[in-house]
Amino acid sequence: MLVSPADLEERVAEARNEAGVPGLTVAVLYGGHQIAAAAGVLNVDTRVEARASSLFQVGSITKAFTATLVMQLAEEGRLDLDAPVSPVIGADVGRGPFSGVFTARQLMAHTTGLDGDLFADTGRDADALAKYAVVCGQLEFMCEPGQAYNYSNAGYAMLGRVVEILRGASYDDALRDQILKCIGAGRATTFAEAAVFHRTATGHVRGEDGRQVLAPPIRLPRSLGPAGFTLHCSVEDLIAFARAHIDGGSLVSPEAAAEMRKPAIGLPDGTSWGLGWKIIPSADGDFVGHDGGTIGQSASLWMSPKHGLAVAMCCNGGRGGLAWERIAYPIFREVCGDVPRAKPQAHAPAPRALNLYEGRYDNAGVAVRIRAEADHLVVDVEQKQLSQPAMSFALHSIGSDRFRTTLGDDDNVVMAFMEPDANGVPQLFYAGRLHRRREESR
Amino acid sequence: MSLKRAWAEIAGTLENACASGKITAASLALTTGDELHAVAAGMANQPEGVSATTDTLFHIGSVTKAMTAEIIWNLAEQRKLSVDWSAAEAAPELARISGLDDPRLTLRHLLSHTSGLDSDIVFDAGLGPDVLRNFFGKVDRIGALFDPGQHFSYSNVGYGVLGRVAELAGGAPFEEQLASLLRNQHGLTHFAIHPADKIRQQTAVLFHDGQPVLFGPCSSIASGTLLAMSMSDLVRWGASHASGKLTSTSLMRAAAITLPHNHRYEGWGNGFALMDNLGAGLFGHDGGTAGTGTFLRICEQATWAMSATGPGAIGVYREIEPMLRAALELAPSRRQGVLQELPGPLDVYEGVYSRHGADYAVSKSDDGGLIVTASGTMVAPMSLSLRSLSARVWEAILPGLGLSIWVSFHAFDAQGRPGLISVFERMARRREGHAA
Repeated sequence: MLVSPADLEERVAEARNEAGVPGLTVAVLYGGHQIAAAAGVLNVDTRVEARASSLFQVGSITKAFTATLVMQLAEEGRLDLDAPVSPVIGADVGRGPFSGVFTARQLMAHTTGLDGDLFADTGRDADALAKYAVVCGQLEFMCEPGQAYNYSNAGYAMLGRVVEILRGASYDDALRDQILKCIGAGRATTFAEAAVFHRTATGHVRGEDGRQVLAPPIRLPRSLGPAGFTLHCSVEDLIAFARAHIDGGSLVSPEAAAEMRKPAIGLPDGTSWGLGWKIIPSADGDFVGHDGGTIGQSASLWMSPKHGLAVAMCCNGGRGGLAWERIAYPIFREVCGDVPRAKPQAHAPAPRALNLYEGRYDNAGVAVRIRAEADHLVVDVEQKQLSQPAMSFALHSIGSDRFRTTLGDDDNVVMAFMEPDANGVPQLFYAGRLHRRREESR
Repeated sequence: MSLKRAWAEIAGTLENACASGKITAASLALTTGDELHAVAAGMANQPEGVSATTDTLFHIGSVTKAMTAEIIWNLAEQRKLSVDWSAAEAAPELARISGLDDPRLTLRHLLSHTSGLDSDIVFDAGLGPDVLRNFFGKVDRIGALFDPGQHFSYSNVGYGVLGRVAELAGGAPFEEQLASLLRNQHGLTHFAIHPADKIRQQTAVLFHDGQPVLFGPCSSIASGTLLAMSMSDLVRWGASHASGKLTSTSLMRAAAITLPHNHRYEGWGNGFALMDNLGAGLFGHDGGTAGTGTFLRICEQATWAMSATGPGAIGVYREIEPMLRAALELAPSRRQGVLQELPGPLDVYEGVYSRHGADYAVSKSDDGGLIVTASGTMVAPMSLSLRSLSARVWEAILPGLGLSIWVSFHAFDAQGRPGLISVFERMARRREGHAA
């Protein structure tokens, strides 16, 4: 093993302190062996200590689980990934003619163009996804299916619905029976009712005095479960899932696992997306993984399939991104000579006058306003559904209608202005999502 | 003995009970008006190695019923309903359910368990805030064991009806009204109804043979399956009813029926159980759900609450209560003894008595007593040997626990045959065609 259990324990404790995380768990898979470590507490009020087996909300990492369930159906011949998927769902998902066109493969790669952040709560009952599918009829297509990448939570909920229909079971039962049981993740669950019986983390946010306090008691709707709102699992469970993908065979065939991590669509920051995985190119083998977050918790699972290396981290507050860099980067650098991070691109002049980018761009989730200053753009972002504070930041050009900024610990957030869509409406690509320019009087 | 000295002894008793495996965890809180004393012992989650603290939440089970009653009385005070309305008047959508269509059956009967409604109807009706509406939408019939007001028979489904009535009158899901009562009206913070909140605050859980003892179903929220609280907060809630400042208190503890044939309760009010009205004036409520037993006691001098996980909860509480009463120098119980009318021939008791999900077969034993054999989906199968205390009241020792309970017979006909049997505060009605 490239790091001893004691070393990992020490690194996790140090990273936890530096990043101000209440509780941090990490697991590493290398050369077929696995080690794990934990530090801190699951809840600053109860002071219950974190263990490597503790359950955390892993957020959107769940999308890789959902994509795996869909891949299983394709391998069993029950689903054609390249056929229109609305007939399977039995509802018109999205407004207009594109509704009947997009495929499961496009849902997996986020290329349907379907607007993605509709956080409708359709209850906690077993029909939550069926009801949500009906609500999704109101979603807009931001572009023609297959044309561009547009991260869609709603799209992943629809993949969950496909699983329900073809398996004849709730998404939660299918996930448990087809994946969690197979990888030995017996404690992992999508139900808080079941998570109560284990050591389970609570999310934290920065309080008024700067200290970490419990995140407000929010209810993450079951309707977005397949997109990552409900799964609680441990870093050990995440590593078991990564191992199944690296080895192939236990969940999906090695060929199907390889297909899932093959680039399906490129992104403006030089990375790409496969079927359920994000892919970061690297000279000595691509990195494949997913990040996830809920209110007050964040998680990351990344692997280098070529080197048989995987690292998983869960944390419940603080600067999760910083903790990840401190722990995972040295390990990836040692084995792969590189880290799973898009390479920052140098500043370069914009191809057109900055005031041409000005305007208001939006989707279901946020409204973005762009205005030009002398040598850069200023962005104001307002949330439409989630009660999160508005943001404002500066953008600097890296050429080709692309701009870069720093958000939190990430100095390589890329925003891009895209070619006008079929209707001639210019689009803004930001935070993985397309935003359509709204006509308004200046 | 001073309370301070007694408290150390009580804490030791709880520690020992956990160490000996009688119970897994316990929490006890007490206030005499000014200070609040709290102690906890054992493991909130044994396999995970998490200790219980005085902040740990425990499922309080049917103690929730007293809160459901408070919600109803508050709605009555706001003139959004009248407790003298029939169930059908208060909730027209329920009038289609056979058993609830009786115009004589009022909310007051439901509050005091004198409606005659069957005790338990349990099925999964979902997890969401519309669970009570969904539940009653699927119920066509609730059995009536006797005419409203005639007897006492503890009814969980009756409190479910009150929950749905509160939703219709209050215009919000019951879950929301319960949370609002505790948070906004009583200023409490250490409680949880939604499972996500039970993760946010440590909640005591129990395992049996390695399997979690689950809580729920959600459809029984108003009779007490979901609410978990710290004992300190439960005592704060109870103490607000000790002060007599709340209008609801006097109505909730006003005796609606006396229970001379019951070993645990002297009577029942419109929300509170009356444990010792004649002596120290104790009232409160007991609860049992998710393998957790909870006991709330309120009187003028003090309020206390204990909760424990594990089958030994009742036994441990029976040890603790006398210690508390002695330390608080409460007046002794002036409870009257059982009337010593000796039973005649035992043939008249024999037969099968039923309620929804429970059959009680009564037969003569070899030693001159009776044997009751319980079976069904809503009752733990067991056989009880009954020893006569009077014609009406018989004593049994609970197998395994060694605890004494009373079983009583009611509604005797001209031939001296009882028409009803009361076991665990629930009536069952004689099935004709099964007479001896």
